[in-house]
Amino acid sequence: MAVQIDGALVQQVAKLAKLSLTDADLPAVARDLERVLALVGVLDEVDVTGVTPLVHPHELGLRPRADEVQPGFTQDQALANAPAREAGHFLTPRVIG
Amino acid sequence: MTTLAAAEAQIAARDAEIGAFLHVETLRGSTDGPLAGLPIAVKDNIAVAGQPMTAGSRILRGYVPVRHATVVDRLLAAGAVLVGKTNLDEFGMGSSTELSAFKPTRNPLDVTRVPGGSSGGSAAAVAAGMAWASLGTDTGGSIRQPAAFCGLAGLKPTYGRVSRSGVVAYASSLDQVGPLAKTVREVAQVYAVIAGHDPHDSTSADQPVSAVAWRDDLAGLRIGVAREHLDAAEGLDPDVQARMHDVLRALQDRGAILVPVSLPHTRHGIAAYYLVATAEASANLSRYDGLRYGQRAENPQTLEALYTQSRAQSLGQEVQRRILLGTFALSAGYQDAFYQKACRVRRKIADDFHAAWQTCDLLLSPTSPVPPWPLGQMTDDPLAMYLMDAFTVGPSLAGLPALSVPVGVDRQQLPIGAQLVGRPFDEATILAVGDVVQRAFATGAA
Repeated sequence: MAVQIDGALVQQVAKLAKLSLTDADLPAVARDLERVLALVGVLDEVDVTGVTPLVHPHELGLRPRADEVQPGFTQDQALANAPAREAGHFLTPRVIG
Repeated sequence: MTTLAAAEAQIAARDAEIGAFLHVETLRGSTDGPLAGLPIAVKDNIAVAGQPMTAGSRILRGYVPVRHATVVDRLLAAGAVLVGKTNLDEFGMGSSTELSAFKPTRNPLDVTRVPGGSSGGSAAAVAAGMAWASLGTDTGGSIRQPAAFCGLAGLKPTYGRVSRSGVVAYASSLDQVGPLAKTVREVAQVYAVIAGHDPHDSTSADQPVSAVAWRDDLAGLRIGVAREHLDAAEGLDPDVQARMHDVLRALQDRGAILVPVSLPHTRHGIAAYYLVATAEASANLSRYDGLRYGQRAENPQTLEALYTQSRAQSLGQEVQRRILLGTFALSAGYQDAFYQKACRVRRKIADDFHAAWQTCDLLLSPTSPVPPWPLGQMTDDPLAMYLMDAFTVGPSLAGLPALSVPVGVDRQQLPIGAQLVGRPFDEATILAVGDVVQRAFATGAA
């Protein structure tokens, strides 16, 4: 599938990916993505009619453990690496004005 | 054999030049066990509680895990002594260890060249005698290719064979932990300790781990050789190609039967791999949001700005490139044409291997199409570096076990590795045959 990558598309993808790009970055990133998409264009040679996607090597399914309470992180452990914390919570910038 | 004292002395003497370690700290566990006293280095995307873990990224600077990865628990219980955390391409995304956010690692066999990647620090540590063995992780070749580049043996187990609990996720349907060491038998020693079901990883398999039956005679063993991985391979170095034919002759001399097979979708492997891996990475790396751990941008005015600025400031260029590609491949309007298409081709690639198992017991190919390249040669051309994974991504997409074995050096004295690929959960066969191959070429090894 041929795709024209323009600045608007790159900006939309960056927004979805939660990455901030400046307008100055856009042309280089667009060229970069176009080159990668040209590389993956080789997939168009393959006839995949009727082929079910293989999304995971373990098709028999995952093995959940028994639904029993087990020791996990303590609150202090969970917060140990937080950039900012207060009163047992992760601290974020104000969300509600 | 590399003892703890020898490893510590080598780290002090050589690591300033080699750059294998991001953090040096000794950690002892049990005093006895199958790995008692043996110094082992651990890739810095595998958690060792109380020691900093960056995964080669600035975004995890200052992060200290609060518990061990399951594989670390198992090493310590088996008597291993951990010597430190090794350098890697950021989050495992690279093939040369030059894409670490902190420093490049040099190849101890030729310090002007790369050690391979992304487990380049783990490979360099063992090759330089700074550890007896090491743990790496492999998503598309990241154990096997650095093993080949540093003259070592390295095993990517079957997907699900080794627990991923406590391992930094890159592409969750591909990532596996495995050992690197100077010999196949040492690799097998570490593998026997880390393999097996772990209730903390729902993708870990509950298959018995069989002991390796070491052998000298390969009578009747059928070794598949795909022309797409040898004589019809694109960009294959002539010395590497010639050495693979030497390996095949050595195997025949010991009674093995060579079987021509076809892996017709080899040329589509890189494309399928990069779409699948980046799609999964874009989801996995969404956790680096500056909120719960890792680096946070200073003074963001909104929650959205906190996310985007933290990520843009602290994730490297290649990581951002892959997140953007993966996000694009999963986005509305493009998912069918890119991600789903790649998954369909992934099944065709897996089917090629399954068809090969009808006529052979294992497959042989080069690990890398070329020997280690000079530092800096490919850093400006990430796409050229992607192509270096041509032979390793197929077994990864199919979830198969694969072992790189050192088979001597080329005319420039640079190491060459042969890749043995086995049936699912049949690590025992590729280890046994790998041991025969390594001993056949021991005199030519670096």
